[in-house]
Amino acid sequence: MTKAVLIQLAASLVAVLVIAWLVRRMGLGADPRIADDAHAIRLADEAEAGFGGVEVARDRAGFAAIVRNAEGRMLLIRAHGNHFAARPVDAGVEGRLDKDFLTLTMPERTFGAVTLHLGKEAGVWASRMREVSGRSARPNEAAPARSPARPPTEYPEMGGRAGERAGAAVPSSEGGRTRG
Amino acid sequence: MDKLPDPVAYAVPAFILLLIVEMLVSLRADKSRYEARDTLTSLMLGTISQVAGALVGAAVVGMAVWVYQFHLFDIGIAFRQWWWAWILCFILDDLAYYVFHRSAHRVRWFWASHVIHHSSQHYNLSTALRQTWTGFFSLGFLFRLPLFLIGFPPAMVFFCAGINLIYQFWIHTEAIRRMPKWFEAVMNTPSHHRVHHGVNPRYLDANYAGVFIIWDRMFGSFVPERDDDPVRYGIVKQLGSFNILWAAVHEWVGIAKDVWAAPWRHKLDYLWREPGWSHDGSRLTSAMIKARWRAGRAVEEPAE
Repeated sequence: MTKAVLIQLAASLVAVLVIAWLVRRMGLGADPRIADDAHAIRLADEAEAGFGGVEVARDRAGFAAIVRNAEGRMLLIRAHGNHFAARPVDAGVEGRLDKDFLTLTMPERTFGAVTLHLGKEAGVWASRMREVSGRSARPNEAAPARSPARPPTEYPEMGGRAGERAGAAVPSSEGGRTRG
Repeated sequence: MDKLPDPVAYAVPAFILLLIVEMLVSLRADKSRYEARDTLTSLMLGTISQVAGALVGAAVVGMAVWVYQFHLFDIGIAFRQWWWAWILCFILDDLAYYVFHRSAHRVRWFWASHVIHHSSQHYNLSTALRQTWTGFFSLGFLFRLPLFLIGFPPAMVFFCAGINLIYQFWIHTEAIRRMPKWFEAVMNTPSHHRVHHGVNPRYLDANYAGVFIIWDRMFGSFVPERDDDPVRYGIVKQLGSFNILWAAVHEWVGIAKDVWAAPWRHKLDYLWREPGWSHDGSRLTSAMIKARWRAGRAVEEPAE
């Protein structure tokens, strides 16, 4: 590479960082939430045409949801930037139940782990994940730590490692580890 | 070989200025058009794409010059004498771009390189700069070689290709709804190109044009934007990540895994068949998604 190309590259990098900083500084962006069950079902249909969701487990803060269709197939939907991204909840997905929280760890590392605050429904959906895989629940030796101050859904791009939360580990007596 | 300036290098300051203008418009119209991490990903992908281009540029030019020695017609480069050749070259280069771009969506090998450009769920001027790193590796440059065989000088072709690329920058925006009717009829516009970036079943695999939308109208791939079906952007399986490296290589990794796991007689199919194709029918191609969507509408409509 010539000197001119290197100078051009350095200038480009500076411009890139300045523009990205400007976007943040100007307050551009959105805070996408799943408003209600109908919204989650619509998002599932957008992710997979004709999915036809019939039942929804929506994270209390609206960051993520699991949508189930009449065939029993499930889709996980989570916020990504200003929008949403979805993945099927199948045998490759690892689930961990911790009282009212259900954490799904996708086989695709870059997609990250998603923790949904589902309240009393968490156990029901953990069972459904077990049904998908046909495996029984195992005791949860290392339940995810809980930090009420942070949103319940975390992804690698938000700064933490997949499935990792701030705060001390809180083992759960009703915790189960399932592979959905 | 004759030397002409690279028009793209001169256009970069205008790109940055227009980006900032669009950001200001978004601030007033719709803040969700931009997202800092998405913009950073797009611009970093674009910057590294420039580096990749610089690294392989000499090889592409060398190949063009080598093919040019077999040219059929003697065409000069002086604009005053050869103005008609310049116009013809620009039009034929745009046709070559259409063929390349259509292949880039219909053949997984080419798609693996092109998917970077579609991997954002946003549609703004920074998306235009989200460009491939692996264009040379995927052999995308082959589509322009017939122009050198005809006799268009490599410098002329590369200059026209640069103008083509610059034209495509401004159409990556939601800030412009529709251009005048006559313009929409002939030229590629923000409206037409929004459709191209859409993942709505109606919009999949449409509007491959670079500069002139006439190619899509001629070859049956034109789909107009509809106000009752707002475009959702990205790829069928959204990335769900702002990881730059993953955005650049995820489809190559997918191909490698599929080829590894496929039965011998299907291994090559995972390279040349359309994205979404699988030997056991376990995945959906865009044609299958469209068919499923049409079937769903057929059921819904009589009930409405």
